[in-house]
Amino acid sequence: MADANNQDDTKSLREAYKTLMIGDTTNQQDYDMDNDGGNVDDISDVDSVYDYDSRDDLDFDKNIFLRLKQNDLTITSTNIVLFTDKDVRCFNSIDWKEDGDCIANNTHLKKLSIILGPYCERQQLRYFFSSVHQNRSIEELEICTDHIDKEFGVFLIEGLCGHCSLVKLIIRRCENLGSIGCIALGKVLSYPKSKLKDLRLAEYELDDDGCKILCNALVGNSTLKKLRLSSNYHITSIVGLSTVLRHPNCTLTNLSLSSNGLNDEGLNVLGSALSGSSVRVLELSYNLSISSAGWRTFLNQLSHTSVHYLDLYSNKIDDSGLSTLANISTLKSLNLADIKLCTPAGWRSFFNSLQTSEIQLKKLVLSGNNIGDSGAAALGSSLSDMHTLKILKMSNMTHSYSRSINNMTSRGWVSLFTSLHGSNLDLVKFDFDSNQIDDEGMLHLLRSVSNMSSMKYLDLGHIHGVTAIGWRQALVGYLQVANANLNLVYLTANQINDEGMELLVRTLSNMSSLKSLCLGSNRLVTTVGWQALTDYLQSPNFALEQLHLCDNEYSNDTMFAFTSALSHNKTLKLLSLGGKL
Amino acid sequence: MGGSYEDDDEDHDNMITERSWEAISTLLCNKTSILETYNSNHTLEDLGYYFEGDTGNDLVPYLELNENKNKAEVARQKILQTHFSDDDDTSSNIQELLDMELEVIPTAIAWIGRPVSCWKGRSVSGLSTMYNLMRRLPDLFDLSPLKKQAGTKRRET
Repeated sequence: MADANNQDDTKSLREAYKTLMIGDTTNQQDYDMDNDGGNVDDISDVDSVYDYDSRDDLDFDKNIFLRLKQNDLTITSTNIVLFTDKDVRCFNSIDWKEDGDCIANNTHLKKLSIILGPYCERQQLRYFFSSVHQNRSIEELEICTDHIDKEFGVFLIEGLCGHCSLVKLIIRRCENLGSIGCIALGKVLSYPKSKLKDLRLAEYELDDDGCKILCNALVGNSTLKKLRLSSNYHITSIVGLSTVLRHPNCTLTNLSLSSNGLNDEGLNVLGSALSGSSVRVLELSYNLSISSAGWRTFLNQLSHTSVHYLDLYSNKIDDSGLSTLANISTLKSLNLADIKLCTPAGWRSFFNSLQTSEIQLKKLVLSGNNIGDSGAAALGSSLSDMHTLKILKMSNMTHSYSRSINNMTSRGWVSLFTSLHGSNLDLVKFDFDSNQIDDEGMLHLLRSVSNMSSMKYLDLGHIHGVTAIGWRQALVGYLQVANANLNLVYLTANQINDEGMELLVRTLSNMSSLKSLCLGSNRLVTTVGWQALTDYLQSPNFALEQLHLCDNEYSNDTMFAFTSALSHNKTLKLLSLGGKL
Repeated sequence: MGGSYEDDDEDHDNMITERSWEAISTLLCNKTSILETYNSNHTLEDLGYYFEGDTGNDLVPYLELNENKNKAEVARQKILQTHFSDDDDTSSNIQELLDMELEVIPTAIAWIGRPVSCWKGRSVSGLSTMYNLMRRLPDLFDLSPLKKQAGTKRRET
């Protein structure tokens, strides 16, 4: 019975890990912890959309084992996952004492990921960490485990203390780190020759005591640049962390404290410590124990810092707190998604104050908020002067507020898009998924983005309020000035019909830059529309690498035409067909 | 408004018919001749998460083969696996090799015996095909001087 439970645990751990690694592409796109604190240029996340399943090499099979032994040049950033259950990829199936040289002597391996479940043999684990210690090429080690006990802690110290190449350590889902694990990690961090620059302890059961132990080890550390302590729900106090931040040797640039149990007092301590610190990237999303008053005080404190990137997703910030954000003049990237306590009046005031502030934003996320018509008008005016802005995310802006009297109307959207059309704004990425605009709104939206020659990513999926006629009219307008640099276009779950498809294809045929196109769940398209797409598949400018056509209806003849058109294609790698989205 | 996007009923689960999957299979590896196999699509790697059934599963090896960046090797593997596998009667395909101009045969032999590079998909070495070829063309592989002369004479005639 116990074995069965253990197997279930391992299975769930593995599934969870796979979800973390490849499951949620949205999170990966928006994952900004990799930002360089001094250069908040996360336009690169446009490219990461292509790579969402590039980390699919999850299985440590015999082939990879042999290639490691042979010091295969091609294994550099492959993720190797060592399960410890009773399957063929079992950690225990390898004699790490005899064959640990596959890692110890390898000189090309850069990343190593390991999942440790309940069947892990301790002596083998020791040999494994010993081989890691001897290796001189691994830069990134990721451990996903559910338990670190005393023995494990000792092995961890033996394997990682003074490792000559390790710069990034990620430990996930450790449900029983305890003081033993913290002390072990602390020794690794405080080891004089430590080269660690990036430490991520996400989804830990780290509490205040554990945090204190780790922070004590970090005081005076001059190598660590990035520290991620997100989803540690028991952390309420960060007094220890404030000591680290205040130390003159501290070089931390990226700090993530999302989804923790921080309270007003803890946030106040953090705000004081950040003043004059080297931190540039600050993630504080989903800290629901902090009150509006706590946020107001903290955001005032931030005006004395040099924070460039600020993630405040889904917090209890009210209009008053929002207004103080305009005083943080160093901001370049601001995530304000799902700030539900703010009213349209608060948003209007904030957008107006942005116009007069010194902030030069590159990225602004407003998804999931109801900014109202008045807020939309103010945003339009503000954006007209925001020449630095490259990424604007405004998905799901009305979905949760369909019954609100302050809900954005068609007039609000038209006002916003008209302002954009007349501005010099040149966005690279525009996410407008799941909004309730009508035909007129879409017409103005496409006209406004048609001027943006730098546009690479355009998400117009799930716009249910736009009719087939609306799409046709908007696409005719869009045809006049096509965006030559578009990489990705999302038009999933819309009411585009055959005529709209023909117009769309005519536009896309001019874009040799387009790499990914999503047309899933456009059920009004019939054989006629798909024929237009077939012609596009054979056009000289066709450069698509991904074509998503899930949840549509095709006749056999359409499928035969698709396959015939693709017979000599040399670019398309992903063709998503059939099933639901 | 129509609202057809909301009609997510069960009927839409299997919108790709068996014949359509077969067409995709042919796209990835046309088995009608060696030349058609060579001219198949060697680029498509992924059909999304929603293809199922026997035909869908049959496509997986071809999609994995296509992941190899060396497209010449992809074509070679598809030809070896489709036309010269141990499971099939390969005599007619060997005959195709034998019917080639003698000058071309060394190139064909080198092509068959090319070492398999490291990659994820299923691969065959071509040694079985080489063995079958040697059995049918022993003169070509005999190193003794007399046999060599015989080979030259055959070429002259």
